[in-house]
Amino acid sequence: MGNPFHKPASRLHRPATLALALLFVFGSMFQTANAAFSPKKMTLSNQNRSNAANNPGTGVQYTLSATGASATAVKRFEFQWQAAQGTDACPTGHVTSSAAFGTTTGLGGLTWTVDNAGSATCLVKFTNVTGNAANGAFTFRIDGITNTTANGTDFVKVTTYDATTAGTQLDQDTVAYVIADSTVQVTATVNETLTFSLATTSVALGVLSTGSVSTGTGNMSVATNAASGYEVNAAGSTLTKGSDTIAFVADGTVTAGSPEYGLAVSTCGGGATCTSGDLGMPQSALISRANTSAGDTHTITYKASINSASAAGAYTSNISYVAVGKF
Amino acid sequence: MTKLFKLIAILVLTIGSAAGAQAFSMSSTNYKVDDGTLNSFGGAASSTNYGLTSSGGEPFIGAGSSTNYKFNAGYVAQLEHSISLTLDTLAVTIPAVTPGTSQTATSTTTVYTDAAGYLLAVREDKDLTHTDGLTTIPAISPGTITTPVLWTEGTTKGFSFTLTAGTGLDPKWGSTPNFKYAAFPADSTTAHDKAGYSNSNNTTTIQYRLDVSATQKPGTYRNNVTYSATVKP
Repeated sequence: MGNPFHKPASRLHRPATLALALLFVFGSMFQTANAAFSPKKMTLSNQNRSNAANNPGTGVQYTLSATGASATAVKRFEFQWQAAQGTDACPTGHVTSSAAFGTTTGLGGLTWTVDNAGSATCLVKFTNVTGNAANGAFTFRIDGITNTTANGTDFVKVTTYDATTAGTQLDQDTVAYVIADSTVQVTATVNETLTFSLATTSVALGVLSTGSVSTGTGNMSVATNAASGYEVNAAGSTLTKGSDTIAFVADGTVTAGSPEYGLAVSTCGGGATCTSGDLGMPQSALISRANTSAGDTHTITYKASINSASAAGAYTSNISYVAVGKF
Repeated sequence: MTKLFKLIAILVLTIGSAAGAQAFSMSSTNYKVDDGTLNSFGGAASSTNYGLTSSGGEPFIGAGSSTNYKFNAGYVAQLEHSISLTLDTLAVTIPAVTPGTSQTATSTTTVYTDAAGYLLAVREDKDLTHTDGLTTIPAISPGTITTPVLWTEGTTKGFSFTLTAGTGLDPKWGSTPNFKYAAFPADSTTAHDKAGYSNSNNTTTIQYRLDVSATQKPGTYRNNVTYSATVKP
């Protein structure tokens, strides 16, 4: 009785219905099976928490780099942030209400209109009535996102449609990204520096005469990173031989036939300012500069002359220089 | 009629095979089945250096959804990957620099991901900037992430970085004692492309190096260097 083969008409009808039903069920399944983006990645301009002490993650740009599968023009992108994959809910503290269209590549250069109506659940939509196929490599940048307040892995589910509203779903995939304290504050200290050197510590003036001024030279170099530069002061003794001396010049010029001794900055290096003339000692701010110097070289010319009353013999003088950085 | 039965049998066989190849994820209060598969072959395998989750023989793949349900069918490649990034410190101090003698400091990033590698990118928010808010220490030049350069002590000036330790570092970064240095870019740029599965914490050591010109204003300088880690697609 229960054998369906006793009724040929029914035998024909029931299997056919079953087959059609099976086809319908699985056919429907195939229609709703959407392709994934591959490859895919989500790059953040700032992966810090929005409440990070340093460089907090606000106003963040999220850039999806992906390759879609559908050749149909995409007219709507939906970005759904998720704290847990598969759950359409905002990661804690994550804010999308100020999301804005950034830029795209590989999508025909279209401008997409943002829809933040779904910001309560961190759903952001972008629409364009013309649309563009996303079956090649493309990027889509979203601006103005505030990151979650908790470190960890979060997700964005990306879905494309063939209409600005409703329509058929084209591609859908979820991409992971990480929120982490990812900013290092680098601190460096630059030491104060002042370098000073004399090319020689011994200058010979030769045999002095009444008919000419004897000279000798020596260079000095100064460098500093002091913002206000440096100055060089000079002090010392006049030419001396026992109780005999040749006095420092007083009128600014060492003159032949006069018993005078002094020095002059004959080459004032770099951007420095140097006291002019033949000078006796001491000299404050003999050389000065108002800013940093990578290395100034100055030439000092020592000068002496005698008259016929000057005692014969070897005279010596010690001149000391002091460089001061003005930090 | 015989033909009809054959047709039905073929359909059932075909559709039955298809149904057996679909992947699914189910959960209840106490249980969760992650992306189960009924496939021709597949499973988890691992060796010292590699991990593999495989699935094959799945004729129907993709994602479907309705108001109340979501359906992911297909290869385990659709599983999302997790990633974490940790820095050993959020504040690095480079020893005081006397012009002409460089100083270094290091940071270590630790990334864990179950993806097939990750990209580690870096950027700085500004040049090292004096507490006066105006004076800066420029980056080295030349020397970019694309083309790092050797450091010549006493000659190379500026702020830079190199990668001194890590897994599969690009040879362009050189090796001790001849590391090659690059300026931090303003835009996040990949400095390290870590390939392959690790299944463990993966560390990378970044060395900062600084020397300044003789006229560099003394004092304290700061900037922010931001790292980002992205799973490889």
